[in-house]
Amino acid sequence: MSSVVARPETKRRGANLAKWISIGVPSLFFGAFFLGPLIYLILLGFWRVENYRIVESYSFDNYIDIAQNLFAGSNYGYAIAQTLYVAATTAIAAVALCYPMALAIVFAVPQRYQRLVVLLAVAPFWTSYILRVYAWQVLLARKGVINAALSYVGFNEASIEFLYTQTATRIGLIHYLAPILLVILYVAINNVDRTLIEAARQIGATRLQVLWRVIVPLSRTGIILSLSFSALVACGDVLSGSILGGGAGQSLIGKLPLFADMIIRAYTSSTNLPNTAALAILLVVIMLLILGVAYWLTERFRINVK
Amino acid sequence: MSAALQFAPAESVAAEPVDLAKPVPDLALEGIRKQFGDHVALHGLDLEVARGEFVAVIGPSGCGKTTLLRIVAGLETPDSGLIRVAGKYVADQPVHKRGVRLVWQNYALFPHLNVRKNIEFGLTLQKYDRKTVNAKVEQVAELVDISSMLSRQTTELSGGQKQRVAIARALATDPEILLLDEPLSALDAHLRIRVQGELKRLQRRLGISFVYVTHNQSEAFSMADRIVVMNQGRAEQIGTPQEIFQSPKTRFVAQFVGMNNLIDATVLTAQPGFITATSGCGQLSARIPPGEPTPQPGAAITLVVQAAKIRRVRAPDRQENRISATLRDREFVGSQVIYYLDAPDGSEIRVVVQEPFGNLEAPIGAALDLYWDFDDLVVLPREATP
Repeated sequence: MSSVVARPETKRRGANLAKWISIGVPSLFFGAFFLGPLIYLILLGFWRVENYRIVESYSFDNYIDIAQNLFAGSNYGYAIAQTLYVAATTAIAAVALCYPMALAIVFAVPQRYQRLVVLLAVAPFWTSYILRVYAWQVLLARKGVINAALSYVGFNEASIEFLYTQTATRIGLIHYLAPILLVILYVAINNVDRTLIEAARQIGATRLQVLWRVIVPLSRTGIILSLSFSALVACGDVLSGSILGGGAGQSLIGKLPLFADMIIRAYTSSTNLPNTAALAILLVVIMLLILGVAYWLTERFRINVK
Repeated sequence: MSAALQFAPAESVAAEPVDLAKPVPDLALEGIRKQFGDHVALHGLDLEVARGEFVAVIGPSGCGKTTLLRIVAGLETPDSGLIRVAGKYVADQPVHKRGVRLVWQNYALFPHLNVRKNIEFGLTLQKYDRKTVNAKVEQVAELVDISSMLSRQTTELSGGQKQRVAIARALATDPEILLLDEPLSALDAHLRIRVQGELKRLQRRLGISFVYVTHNQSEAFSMADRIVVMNQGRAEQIGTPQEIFQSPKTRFVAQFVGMNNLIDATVLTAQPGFITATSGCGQLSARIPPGEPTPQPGAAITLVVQAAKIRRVRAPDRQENRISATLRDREFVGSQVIYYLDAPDGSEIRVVVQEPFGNLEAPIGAALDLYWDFDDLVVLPREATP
């Protein structure tokens, strides 16, 4: 075959190799450090403990045990309900707080300072999460900074019970999530075509109408992404729930622990690792369901911008 | 006196006696000035648009035409100057109460709404009942012939259909004036011709004023009642297409519009209505239209002759406005041929011949005798060439 024909052949082969490397390396990494442990966890959930030793025999015993303990004994069901409630309210509050701020960065900050402002908004993310959680403990404690300030102003009797409630859990989570949400929402809002905003104004929309009828709908993918991301993080997080929420903090639906907190307690105190693994798998399934709902919502409300 | 007139500065009201016989223009701009940093986008522009008039604003990019449109639309605030819409000063009015609607170049349709929701957007912002809204939507959809597409997504539409939706959306709120920013630039060539005709018919039927910004001359000439030629933030000339085409008033207009030859000359003799002048191309004579000042002998002038008005002489019977030039190149563009010739002083003379390979046909390098009628020369005072 002549070299004229052979040349594009080798080129394609090179491109193929590059393609396989670029897909293969991340796949290997993903497989070794995510899929592997996950499969092990799933398998572990089906094993059992005999004489303090893990036995590889497959059964649904762990899951049956969990099912029996949903609303009795360990009361996993109530913890799951608390987790879902705290996660949902945290997600909504986090987006409600971050959206106006992202809006302000996009529309009130001059273009050339926007990157800097976003960078500053993300700055708390560089400090350790656990440090921030402890800092909040100082602020929220019964004799903490906030209550001290309240009594200084004259509300002597009004010492508010923040710490060891799920409100404190949410505060810790929102502080953790805010930098990430700000970036997601900033990008989403910044991507809204400015001529559409001008067009809406020109046709007669007030600023508020532009917000509700153009900016919010056109940034809804970012909103859904932020909500689901917040909910997922809130479901899996342990630190805020145990350090600020006190493990079983008070919320509107009761003084119940978070499910993640129960799992970590089971892990540290019990010797039944397979049973703990089954609990963890149950949390993974719940999170997958949230992810599924988020995906469905994104697809359902997708905007074809072409 | 209307309440809105109170917003006008006292001196401008006092300086302008109210002439009741004069019809109120739909749009009146007085001394509109706008500066962005060091760049002056508009140097005190005046313009009046009569009710139902189709005005095209043309000019090279960066001439300020889009800024002008955005100021009238209320999207930019002029640094100084007054804007009246249907006689009312609008400076203190919110954008949407000005009775002016803009149709964007990229249509700016809301991608999250279907065609119907796009059209009714402006109506649903106010407190109209559903029935009124639907009736209005169907009426304007009918007007631009998109009644069958109301439930479609905007992404399913072609460029021409998107534009109709954009126009329908603007018309739904009953504007006094429709502003169009390069509305045809995103359409392909043959569609553009069709839409030109449709736009013009639509404007006639609606009887509202259109202000149309474009960089495309043929669009402007084929549709507009009046044309504003802009350059560097100033209106160089405002007039009917015929006036602009046949008697350009400035050097820029002569160069920008159509295909003209500009010949710098000095006046030799002057009688009322007629001059002779010397130029690098020889002695030329021109008629001065009645009402225009006759330049004095010695005055520096620029003579303008359309490329289509130049003919070839075969017999030496004509003496005035006759030059001999060397054929350098020819360009065949469909129905016409453009000939490029070198004048005796080295300047380029362009001649357009409608009939391909007609009487100008000669080998490259041939010397040709050219002439034009003295009625076809436009006399401009010489401007300092930049």
